[in-house]
Amino acid sequence: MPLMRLVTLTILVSILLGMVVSPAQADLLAQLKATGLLHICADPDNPPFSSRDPREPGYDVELSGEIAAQLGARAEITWVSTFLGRSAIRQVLEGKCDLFMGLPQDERFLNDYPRLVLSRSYYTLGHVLVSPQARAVKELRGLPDLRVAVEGMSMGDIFLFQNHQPRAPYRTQPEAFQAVVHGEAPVALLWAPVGWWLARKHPEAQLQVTELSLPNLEFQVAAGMRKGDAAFQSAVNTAIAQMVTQGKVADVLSRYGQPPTVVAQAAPDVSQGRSLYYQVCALCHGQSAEGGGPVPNLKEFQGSEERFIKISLNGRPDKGMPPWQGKLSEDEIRLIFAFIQSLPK
Amino acid sequence: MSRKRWHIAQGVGAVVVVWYLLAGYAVAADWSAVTDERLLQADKEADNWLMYYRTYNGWRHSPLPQISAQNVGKLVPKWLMALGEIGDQEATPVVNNGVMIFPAGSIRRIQIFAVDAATGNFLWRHEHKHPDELTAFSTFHPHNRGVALYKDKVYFGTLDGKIKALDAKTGQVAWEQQVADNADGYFFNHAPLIAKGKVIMGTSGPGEMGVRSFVVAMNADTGEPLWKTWMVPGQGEPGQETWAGESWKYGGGAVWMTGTYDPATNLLYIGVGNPAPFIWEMRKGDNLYTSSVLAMDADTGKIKWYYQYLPNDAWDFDTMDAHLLLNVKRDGKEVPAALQPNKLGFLFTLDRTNGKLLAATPFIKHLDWAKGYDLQTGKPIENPGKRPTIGGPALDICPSLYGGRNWANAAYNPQTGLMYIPANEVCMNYKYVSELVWKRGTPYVGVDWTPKMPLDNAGVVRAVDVNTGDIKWEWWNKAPLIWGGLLNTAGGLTFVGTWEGKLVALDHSNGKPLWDFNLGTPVSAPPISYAVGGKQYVAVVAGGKTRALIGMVKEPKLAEHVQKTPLGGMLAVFGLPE
Repeated sequence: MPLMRLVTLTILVSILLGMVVSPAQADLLAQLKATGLLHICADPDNPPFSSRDPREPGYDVELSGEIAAQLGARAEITWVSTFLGRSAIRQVLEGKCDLFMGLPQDERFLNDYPRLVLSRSYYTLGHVLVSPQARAVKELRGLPDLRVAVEGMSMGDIFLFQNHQPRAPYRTQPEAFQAVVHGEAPVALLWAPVGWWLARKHPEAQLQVTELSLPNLEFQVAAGMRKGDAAFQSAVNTAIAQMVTQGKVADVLSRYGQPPTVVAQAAPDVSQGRSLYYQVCALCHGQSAEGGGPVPNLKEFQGSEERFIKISLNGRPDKGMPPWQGKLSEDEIRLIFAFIQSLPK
Repeated sequence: MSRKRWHIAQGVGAVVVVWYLLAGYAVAADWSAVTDERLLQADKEADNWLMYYRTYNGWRHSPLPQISAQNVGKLVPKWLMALGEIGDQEATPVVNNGVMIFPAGSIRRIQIFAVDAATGNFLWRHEHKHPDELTAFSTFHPHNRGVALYKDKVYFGTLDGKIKALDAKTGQVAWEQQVADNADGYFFNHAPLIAKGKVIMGTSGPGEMGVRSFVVAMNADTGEPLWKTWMVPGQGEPGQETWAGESWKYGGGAVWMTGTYDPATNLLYIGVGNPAPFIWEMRKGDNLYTSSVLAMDADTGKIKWYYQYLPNDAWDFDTMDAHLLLNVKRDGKEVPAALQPNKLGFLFTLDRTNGKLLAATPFIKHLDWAKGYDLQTGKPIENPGKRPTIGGPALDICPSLYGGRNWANAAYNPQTGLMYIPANEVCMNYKYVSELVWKRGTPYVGVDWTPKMPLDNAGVVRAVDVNTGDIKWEWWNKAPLIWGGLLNTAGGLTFVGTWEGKLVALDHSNGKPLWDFNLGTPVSAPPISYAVGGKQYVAVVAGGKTRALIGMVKEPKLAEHVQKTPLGGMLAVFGLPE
């Protein structure tokens, strides 16, 4: 074929291949700089988590504003009903927003969304018992006949059922709460944010709110983002860490009635590191980081974090380990290191 | 402008105004009042399809012989209509002396269309807009399965819990009643049943954590409420003791489908859906009247008898479908019966005077939740190890949550004595509490189920002898036959629509396919047949169901296959060439 046509064809094919082969590297930070807007998805009708009501926007909305501010931008909210979890999260996966607040850090949840990545957590979601102060119920042990108002089919409902506790199911958390206010039930088991917030709204009801520590009913809550923009992820994590250390999370939560005990510690987030480890390192170093054969057991690594980072960036060409420079950031390697450190020896 | 031009302008303007006014009344001269007598004798009006199942007995059988097994190969499209909607298209049109009326549902709105049944020419359209704040569960099911006709009105139910009556000639609203509160999880989307001047509707909805379902009757002329019967007994009512603790409060028991009616006994046969919540251990007890059939007095709504197909359901096995009313032969005698082939995978035959179980014969091959039924007690003989438990292992169960048969209707042919059932050979892997479902901002416990096809094809139309339960023939389709339904005609044909987009005509004596047409979008509604001016037509709504793919794509044999057909609402009408 004539030379010009061949050249044109080659160029066209290269462009096409380039589009297909090169991974789409999102650059949300650049977009943030250009537009000054951080796009958040939130439920318009889910107080105290989020709401369209400007007087009480909910703490996920307020905290997203804090994160935006830390990133030098303003939060712009897209209201999304979160009744259908899947469709709601699809909004962030499809780019209709860039951050989805209030998601649980739990493998069972994450397994459903392989393209979703979570930030470090910013608070703990647990449960409370709400009862009248005059006849306060501070724990369920030893009260096998006590009827507990609960939202039907919530985790609390199943917990009560499995513990053979009589349940008075209600359609929603607020309805279960009202049952206690009206004396229909002696106590309600509610998600802590809801319990604290509703109790605060009804001082006349003189209610006692007691935190229940139920480990398998407690979740670390984080913000969801699309995979593929490590720089944005890193920036969000830094913003959250700042938010936590500066006491901003405690402030916001307390305005909605929640005591500061539930704020996440500003320690490295191992679930983030775990996720990275499994994506990148586990292939050679194994599911439990113990390696095998010529592959080193990472749990036995004695060096400092700096040394770990150096080895990861440079690789060990003589031993068959590739250099991760350019593929993993130092921050990400730090997270992986923290995860390995957290593993039981 | 000049005087002359002004007069012309005025003249044109007047003509335009007059034309505009007349357009709204295009059907004024052509509506035949649908009287009680006509409804009772609906079978005799061969040309018409006056109610959801065509006749009160639920047969979906057309006595028109013109389109036959001999000439159906020549069937051609006569006219088409776009519905301007994606949504969920599951409607059965009704036809009254040349006027066809049907709904097109979606999350945003319901449109009711009235068109000339022979030409498709537009007569009128009514739009019912849904409020923005529909409960999320109702948005899973934004279909409307049909309207009902009575006298000079058209009746339908809405997703926001209303029952509306329109003037059949103009589409103007005659009355509307807020019958149920959508905020509580209720909605209406089956076609109403009209009997003895009453509009009878049951609530759909009570989903994973719903309220109690009910059936209401309204005065068709005025909309005045007449009676209301709960599908789950209330405080202190008989049957409440079949629910552990306070679980009756949220018992569910949705009435998803239009009932059937026996004018001789004045009994309505209402199929009731499954209990809520889905975890059976949390509502121990028989859970009356879920997964049951109720025979209710049409005048008072009182329950005359009930039969519970499945006590304490564990598998979302609704028994909400039509009960086909016909006589069967038992021990040499003719017995007036009510038959329902349902999700459970059995074709049930009940004595319709007292609810006694006469037979339960399987119409699917892959069925293992139960061995069969004890005819003495009427109870299922469940196979052990098929009830999932909280935190327990995943179980393999047949059939799947889709059921041996879903809402797609069966049809009965009095000439052949056969019942035609759109069935599904699909099993499932099912467990409780494996998923962490996140919604409304907090984690919830979920159900995980994955459809598993034992064979390469999932859907099968089976012709079953109603007296013996023997399967006479079968016709296979790759995608399951969950949506749509069957039409049987005196021309010797069984029509079925498929998710792949085809309307197919089968020879009703042997199941051999004789004709098909590709509509290019899933045929998700049941076909009907009618005639105008001596010409027979077959009509069907198509367009698919927005959430249908969610389950099907989990089965690798279907995943790619079912995504090939795009969704898009339409109506197609076929007839013989001139």
